[in-house]
Amino acid sequence: MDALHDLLMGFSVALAPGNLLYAFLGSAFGTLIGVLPGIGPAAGTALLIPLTARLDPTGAIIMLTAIFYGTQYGGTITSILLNVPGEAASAITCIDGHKMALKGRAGAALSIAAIGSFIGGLFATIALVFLAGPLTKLALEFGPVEFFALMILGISLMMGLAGKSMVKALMMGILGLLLAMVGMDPVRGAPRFTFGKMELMDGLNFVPVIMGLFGLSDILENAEESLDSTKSAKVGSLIPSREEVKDSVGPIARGSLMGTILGLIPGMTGSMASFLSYSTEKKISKHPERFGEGAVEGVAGPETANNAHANGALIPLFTLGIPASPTVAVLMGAFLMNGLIPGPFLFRENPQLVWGVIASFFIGNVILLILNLPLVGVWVKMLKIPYSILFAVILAFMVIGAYGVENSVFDVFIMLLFGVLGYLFKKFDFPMAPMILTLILGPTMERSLRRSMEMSQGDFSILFASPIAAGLLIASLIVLITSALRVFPGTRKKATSGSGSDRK
Amino acid sequence: MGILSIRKCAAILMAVCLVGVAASVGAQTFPAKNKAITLIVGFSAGGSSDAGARILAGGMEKVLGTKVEVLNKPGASGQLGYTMVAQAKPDGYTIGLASLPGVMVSIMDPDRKAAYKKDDFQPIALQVLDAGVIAVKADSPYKTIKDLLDDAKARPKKITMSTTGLQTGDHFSILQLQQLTGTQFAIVHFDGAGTAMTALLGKKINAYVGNVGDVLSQLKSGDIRVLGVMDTEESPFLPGVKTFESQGINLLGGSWRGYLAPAGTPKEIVDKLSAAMKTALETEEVKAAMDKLGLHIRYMDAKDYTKLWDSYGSMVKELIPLSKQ
Amino acid sequence: MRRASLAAGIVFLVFSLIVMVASWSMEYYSSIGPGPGFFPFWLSLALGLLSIAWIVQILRSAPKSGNKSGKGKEEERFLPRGTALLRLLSIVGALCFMIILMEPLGFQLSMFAFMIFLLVVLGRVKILTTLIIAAGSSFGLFQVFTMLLDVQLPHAAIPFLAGIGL
Repeated sequence: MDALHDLLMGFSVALAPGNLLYAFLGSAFGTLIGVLPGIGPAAGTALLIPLTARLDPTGAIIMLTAIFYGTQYGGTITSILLNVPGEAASAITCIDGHKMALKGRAGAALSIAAIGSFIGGLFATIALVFLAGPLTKLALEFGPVEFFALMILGISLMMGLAGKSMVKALMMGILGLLLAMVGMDPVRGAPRFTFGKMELMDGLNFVPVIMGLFGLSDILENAEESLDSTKSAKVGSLIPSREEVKDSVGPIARGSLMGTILGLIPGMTGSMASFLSYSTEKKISKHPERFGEGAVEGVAGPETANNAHANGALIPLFTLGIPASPTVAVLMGAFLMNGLIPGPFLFRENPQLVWGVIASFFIGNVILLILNLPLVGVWVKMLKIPYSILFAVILAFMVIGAYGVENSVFDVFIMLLFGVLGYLFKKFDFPMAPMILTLILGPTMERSLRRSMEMSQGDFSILFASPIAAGLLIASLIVLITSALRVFPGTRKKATSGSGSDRK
Repeated sequence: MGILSIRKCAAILMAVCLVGVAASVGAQTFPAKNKAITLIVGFSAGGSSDAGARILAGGMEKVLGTKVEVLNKPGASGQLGYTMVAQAKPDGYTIGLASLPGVMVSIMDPDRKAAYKKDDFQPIALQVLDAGVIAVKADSPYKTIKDLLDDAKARPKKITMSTTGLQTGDHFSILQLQQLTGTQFAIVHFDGAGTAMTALLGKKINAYVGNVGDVLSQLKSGDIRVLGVMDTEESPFLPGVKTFESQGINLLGGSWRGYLAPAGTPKEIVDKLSAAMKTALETEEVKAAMDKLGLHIRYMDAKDYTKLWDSYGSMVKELIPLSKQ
Repeated sequence: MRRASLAAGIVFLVFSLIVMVASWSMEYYSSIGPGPGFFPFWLSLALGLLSIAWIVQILRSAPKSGNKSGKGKEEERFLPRGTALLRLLSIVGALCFMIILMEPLGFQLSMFAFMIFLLVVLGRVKILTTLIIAAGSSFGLFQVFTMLLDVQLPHAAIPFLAGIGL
């Protein structure tokens, strides 16, 4: 196979000591950026670009791409340990990951996350090497109409995130959609629900919102008891149990596939990938009630998906010259600054560089696994810090994190607001996952619908004209119906069918 | 008591004189060696606007001998950044990047509720024009812009054309094109070049409108055909692509990126900054860096930039109501 | 708890009504598709109906008997009182402090004060440890983020403070 041959050539480039070092530095730095609040992957990559100016193009790109997918490893750490999302795509990991930590399974959670991330990254890179052509064609099939249908499917999966009360879940889902509409509307470009505040013109910033909903609300809850405890959380074994590993296999496999495909499609973000993975895992799980209480599937799936997404997002850059997300756009800038235009012709013009970089994706993911697994022990020690100190440090980090997204104090206010709201939601047993999911998907849903209407000039049939869209919409309908059935004629049916086994 | 108040008056008078002297000395010794100039960029780090600004900031540092620090204040299509510039002290130490027509739209469109007006700014210099282009897929039946326009006339509102956002330069360019040629397109607004280009390549839309920088990769790979560039001169980055002017359509557009100071900044300081930018733009380093990013240097001093600024004001004002249909 | 839930339900209902009214003033349907007011209207309507459904659910569920049985745990108050509430409010207050003063005072000073308050008052940590952690979190992190990582944390807006590097 040609590709295999080129790949081997690429390895010879990537394994050169210099490039190996850059891959290592990039991975380490990327992990650090993922852990630290206030710098997202885009900013982190951007700020290292000047440093890489001294390096040769291959080395520079190897390092920068390593930072890029490295951040997905780091973001998990604070999510699991501190219930503070390191960065957007790791937010969903807070839900089950932190619960696992509270039960002493932090080490296991981090390990599974690292392994899943590795497999996800690897899968996406293999897809890049061998399936770039067909995958790219698939990505191109996704236009506004297909996006809309996909968003609808995602939103209907939200129903599956309902816990005991469907009513509350729906209310939260709708609330999320309403919050998604804050900002400039896609029809007129006029501000909507912004209270005259300029900072809201781009909508609510996701990172401060989830920092508040998860991190701050957690601290507020703990404040009810006491904040001066010198005790710290218990730390169990660092190695996942056999059962945890078994339960993770499916989610990791599905997460890899889902993340890679979603990463391919420009406009689909990492948060979407991880949340959709979570929702899917919960929907198809035989024990959905475990989610939210520390189900390892709730960590394995999303963490794999977000890494597969990150590596998958590099595919369109190489095959089409299109950046699939703002972060990848920064990478593209790095290419340009090194005098290279990314695109399919680069394979012919500069195969050494291209295949060297691709090979370095494999190496980078291995490095990250090696870096992160042993570090699990180190990170977990963080839990040993007495809470009386830890809570203050977490607050400090959250302030920096919220501020740093757009250099705006307003975002700190948003974090505070949602922290209080999150606290209240928990008190009343309102599930937050549906709201977050719709908040992520809402804007794209409305915009895609608008674009579809602009394309068809008002004709709704365009939504069904595309086979992919029609298929996705039918899937949504099926999801909605099965979710509704679970709830309504539910109770009696559940009692008879479920207890059939314990009726001797 | 009387003596005290005389002393007070004397003190005040002295203070005022000192301040006045300091101000004029300040203008002459601008920029002070250890005082950094803040360049506000209302867009995120890593984007094309930001990249160009950073290149220039680097060049200016060498020319002026003081630090020029870029401060990113992204949000609301640059509006947050513009607000900061308009409200800054007009002493030359705070300047900002401005992107036309974007900044004009924020001023002229009442919906945007901008906290600043046109006269709150003093244009310093123009750096670059990222000219507008119209592109179609390589296997499209439209070989020239005339083909596209003919089909549009035959089937009004059926030919889809993308923009990179509502009320962006591309949007206004399409509106101008429609006015100039009496055509009507189905305008589809995306979020940025990436998603719009994907739609073009996926055959979801017929034509792509954007800037030169957006299409470099796809032109090189042969996936698209650029029908024309909205400039008075051909772009060195788009070999073989003719201007629209030369094809009989007086369409000029794109993103004009320049720099503004808050109104009231002394003329000497503005001229110094402007000259520093000009020098920076002529250095090999800056030229090479801009080149790599596909940014076409177009320098205009404060006077010419102000003319451009004003002409865009009227153009945008006219088109805003159209853009809201 | 029941009363509190009812109150919450009413809050949701009122919220949805406000949004509905707000969406009336927006364009419902444009020439080619749903306008900006379309989704907010229908969503807030749905939210309102669901709020009513929830309120009905609460009203229907048997209220917990007033006399305390041995398992008093069911009768948890909704909001904590006394010192617990004070702790919560202190955190919120401290954050408000940061929001208001982070830009005028600059990051370093405000964060320093913020940390000292949290650690000493709420965490009851020893003074020495507090000072170290507070200094590290404020001055230390400032250097790390601005120097090494190019994140722009605010300097003081007050010129005198900015002059001395804060």
